[in-house]
Amino acid sequence: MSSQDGLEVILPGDPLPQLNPLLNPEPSSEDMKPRTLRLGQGLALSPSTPITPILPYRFGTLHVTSSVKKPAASITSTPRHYHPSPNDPVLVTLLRVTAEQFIVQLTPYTPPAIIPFENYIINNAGTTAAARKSRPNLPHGSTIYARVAVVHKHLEAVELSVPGPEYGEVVSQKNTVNASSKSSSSAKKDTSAAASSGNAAIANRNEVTPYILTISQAMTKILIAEDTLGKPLLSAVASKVPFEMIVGKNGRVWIDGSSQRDVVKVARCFKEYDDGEMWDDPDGGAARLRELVGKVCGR
Amino acid sequence: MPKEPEISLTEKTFVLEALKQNLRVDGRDLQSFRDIQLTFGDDYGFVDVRLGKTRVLARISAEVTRPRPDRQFEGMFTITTEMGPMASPAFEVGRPTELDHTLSRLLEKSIRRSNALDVESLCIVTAQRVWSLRADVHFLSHDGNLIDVACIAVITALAHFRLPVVTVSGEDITIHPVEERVPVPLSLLHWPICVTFSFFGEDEDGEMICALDATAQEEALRVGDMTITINKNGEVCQIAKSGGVAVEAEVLMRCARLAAEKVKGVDKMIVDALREDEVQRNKGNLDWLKEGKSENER
Repeated sequence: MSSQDGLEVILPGDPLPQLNPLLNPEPSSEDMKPRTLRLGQGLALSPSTPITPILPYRFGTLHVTSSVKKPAASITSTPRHYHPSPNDPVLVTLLRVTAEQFIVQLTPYTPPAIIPFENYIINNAGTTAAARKSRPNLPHGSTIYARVAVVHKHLEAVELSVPGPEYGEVVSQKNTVNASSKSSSSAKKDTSAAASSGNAAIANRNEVTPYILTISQAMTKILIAEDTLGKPLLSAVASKVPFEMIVGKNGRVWIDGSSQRDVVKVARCFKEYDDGEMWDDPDGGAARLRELVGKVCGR
Repeated sequence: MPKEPEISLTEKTFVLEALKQNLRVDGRDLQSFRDIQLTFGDDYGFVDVRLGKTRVLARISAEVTRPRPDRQFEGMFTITTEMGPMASPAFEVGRPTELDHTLSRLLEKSIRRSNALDVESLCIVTAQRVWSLRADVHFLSHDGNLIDVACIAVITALAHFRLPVVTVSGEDITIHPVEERVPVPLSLLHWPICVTFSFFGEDEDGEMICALDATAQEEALRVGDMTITINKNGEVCQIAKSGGVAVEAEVLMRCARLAAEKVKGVDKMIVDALREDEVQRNKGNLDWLKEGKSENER
């Protein structure tokens, strides 16, 4: 990764003396209370190195929010593999069900993650799937939209949770779940084109239209930042084809549209944008993106 | 051992339903290959084949050995395939998968047993010295259709390879270095190319859905597969169908005809790529047209 905007690339274990002033803030005149520094992803407390007690365990660039109220620091990078960190929204595949939990696949070729039944909230009243009666009957291979709850190196498996009804199983067959109920916060609808007619078409489909695309970590970041990084791509595609999507940070994106042909178009645009790493172009990929969308979706 | 990743129900139903409408996730139709890219190395007989995200390297090497006592007029030719975790985490070193066995057997049947390489032309002195040729196939990335790509890689590498010139005078054998004498191409009798069909069950009309050049995702979902090896003259070298869904004779004939058609395209693409490489390699050298040939003009 090249360091952008003059940011320095941090390697695991590098001492970070620049964090020390945040750890022991000098009592200023207006604010005497000590503040706690929040550690984001990629940073850990290292008691064995008292001079620089915070060490990075990932490579990337250091981001520090040195606001007086809420100081925070984290390392950001775009690795090739997904490393779970708490609160990440993810799309997982159900492998099997045991007496206490759902066993799911977070990323391929890694040990499975778990969703304990008591972490699976099925409605707004906070009912969990812990009781046999309320447990959703999910078929093998179904996709669950969940959040990462606990990640710990001494824990056998990553623990996930389904914190409310807007999470849970995503539609895989026709008409099993009303997809629009899921699209409240995280699923993003088409921005401009045919917002109303598009949704009607999506509701009335009689084909199996949702698809799950596997994408790179860099692409995940772009799709999640729908209003900033992802805007050129998403608005270009949405101007041609109406679609809905749910992005899982584990490199999976659920796409639904009015027909299979439309979903394939969206998936191809995403895939080729990802494979071509178009966001790295000097013009932000605008020229290549226009060509791609024209090629895939027609004029 | 790392298992192949679980394919979600969503992907499974979508891919299978889409195939019924002659639609694939990467936008191809059922009868088309992904784009094939051939890259040659600095040495003769080194080729890098890419088909979508599948990538295979093939390299030919030759050494002089004694022939087998029962085949004194023939040189030796072996194909070794190596599938490591670089291609896919599901492959492990020293623990061959089923695909490994199928692949080496199919290459053996398609290329060696169809007599693509004239092994008698590898003989230097009868019962004394022969060339031993070895094709090493390395799989760098696995996104389906390894068999077809490996076959294209081996055939292209064989067509690209040049054997040093050997002169025999009495008991003495001289192998001339490349700088001294222009090395000669191998004597390839024909170019067998594998075409693999994947079957996905029957659609509403009872027609078998069969697709060419399946991706890894489609391979995981297919219910049967069949590999036809055929050359550009339409001569079928072998048909392999081990298990899977039953296919009617009519479908098989249709597949074979389609394969014959596809192979012509692939063949032409290989010839063009070799030609281009030759021009590139001999830039500024006007003598290159005089390069030796071991085969007779037909």
